[in-house]
Amino acid sequence: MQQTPRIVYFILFASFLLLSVSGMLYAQLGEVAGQPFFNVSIGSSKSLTVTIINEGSSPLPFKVILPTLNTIVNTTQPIVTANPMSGVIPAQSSMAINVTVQMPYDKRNVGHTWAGILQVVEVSNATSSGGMGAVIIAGVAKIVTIYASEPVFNPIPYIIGGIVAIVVVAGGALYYYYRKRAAAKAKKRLRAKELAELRARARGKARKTVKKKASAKPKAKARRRRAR
Amino acid sequence: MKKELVHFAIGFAIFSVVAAFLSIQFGVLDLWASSYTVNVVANVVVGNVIYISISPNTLNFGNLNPNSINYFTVPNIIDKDNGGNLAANIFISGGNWNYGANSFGVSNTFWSATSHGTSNTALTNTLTNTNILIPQPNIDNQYTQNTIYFVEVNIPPGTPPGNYLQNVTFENENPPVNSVPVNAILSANVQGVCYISLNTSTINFGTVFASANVPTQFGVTDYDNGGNVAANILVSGNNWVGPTTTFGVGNTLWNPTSSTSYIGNALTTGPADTHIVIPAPTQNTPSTSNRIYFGLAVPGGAPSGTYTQNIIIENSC
Repeated sequence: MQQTPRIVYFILFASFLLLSVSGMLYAQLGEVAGQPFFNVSIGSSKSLTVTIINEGSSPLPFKVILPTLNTIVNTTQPIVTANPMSGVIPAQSSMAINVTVQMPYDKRNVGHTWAGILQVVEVSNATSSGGMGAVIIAGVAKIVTIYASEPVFNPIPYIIGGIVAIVVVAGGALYYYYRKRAAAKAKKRLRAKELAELRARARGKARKTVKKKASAKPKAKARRRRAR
Repeated sequence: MKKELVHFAIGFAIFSVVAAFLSIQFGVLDLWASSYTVNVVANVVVGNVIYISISPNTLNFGNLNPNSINYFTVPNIIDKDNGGNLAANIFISGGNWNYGANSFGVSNTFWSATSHGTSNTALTNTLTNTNILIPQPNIDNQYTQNTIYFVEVNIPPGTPPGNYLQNVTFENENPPVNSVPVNAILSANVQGVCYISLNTSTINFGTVFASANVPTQFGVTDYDNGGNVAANILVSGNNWVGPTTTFGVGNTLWNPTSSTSYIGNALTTGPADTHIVIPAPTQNTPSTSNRIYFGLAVPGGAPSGTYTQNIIIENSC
């Protein structure tokens, strides 16, 4: 009787071991309970965290499917984003997915509520074999509810605007004041210069008159002498 | 005889006066002094004593999930002997983790002498020698200490949500001398969690002819292994994709119960709430499940070939 080669036993044992290990390794997706509710003022955004868990013993690749929100006529639909949109959760650990809702500044949105389902699903590499086959993918879901509220009064832009206005007005006033003051000073200086010139001229004239008079006196004497 | 007595008395009196004078002169007797120095020999027996003070006396492990094993490196308690005179080992014991009427076992907490937690030991409800030594204080080093690390906290499957507390008692011992026992409180917030685990990753409807169907009896079991809140099952899918053509997702029907007919709700691309509930697991029933069934109809005129579809089954809680 022919003996079974050792290699066959080894392959059988290795296959058994591999099957056992793959049986032990499992991924188990989970989520922290609670449905996210976003109360968002129009023209602003809000973020919340959704925590997903892999309680299994092997890493779990996942992807996020963003919610399709219900349509409300005469409104602008909010925008939902998530970060990360995909990744791998290590074994025995959890991951936070940051979900952000941006509410457009449309006053018609105020008081309306949208809802949609945010899905986090396993990235499966399973394939169906033959015939009509469906691949079954596990996931967790969050029903996201979004409410649009009145814009929150934010005093900061008004304060900044007020400060800018005060600075502009004060700057203008100072500019006007200094300009007027400089013009007045220049005028004063000009007047003083003119006055000084007039005075100087007047002093020159006076000197000439005195000289004339002084020179006129001997001439008159001489004329008188000649007349005699 | 009488005369001798008189002489003796006079002599004694003179001697006393001279002695007193000399005593005062040389400071032996100071009649005007306000205090006197008296030497007294005192005896005291210093007993062996071990003191204990722990810091911090509360540790918070944060948010933890049911059915989880959680390792930590940071949380530790420093045990000090402030002024004792014996070396001592740290002894600890604990009580169950409690939140209202809910609880889980003391042995889900593990301690270690190192922050790496290479050899973690489960806490018990009897005072146990950790063999973590607090050195002997002495005159030069009156305060000695050592550290115990709480490196692992496990939350059993199905543990209801809540903020659980555990009392841990510390005692420094060098038998027969013990310190007084002191307590620390450990806290952990068990979050509400639902898990999903499916019994299969594929459904094979087999060979189905065009214009034929298969009954809604292909079941998938959805398990919540170890969660602690109930979950709803949502279901969605995409179109059937064949070699040359596709046909609608709605040709697949889902149903909460198995049927011998092709009946149920049409599968949609958006997730639909099936209203199938997976009950909250408990510590007594740590795994709960429910089933959803699928059937298929192949439209007339569908070319022959292998068609595939993705069906997403989700738990929501």
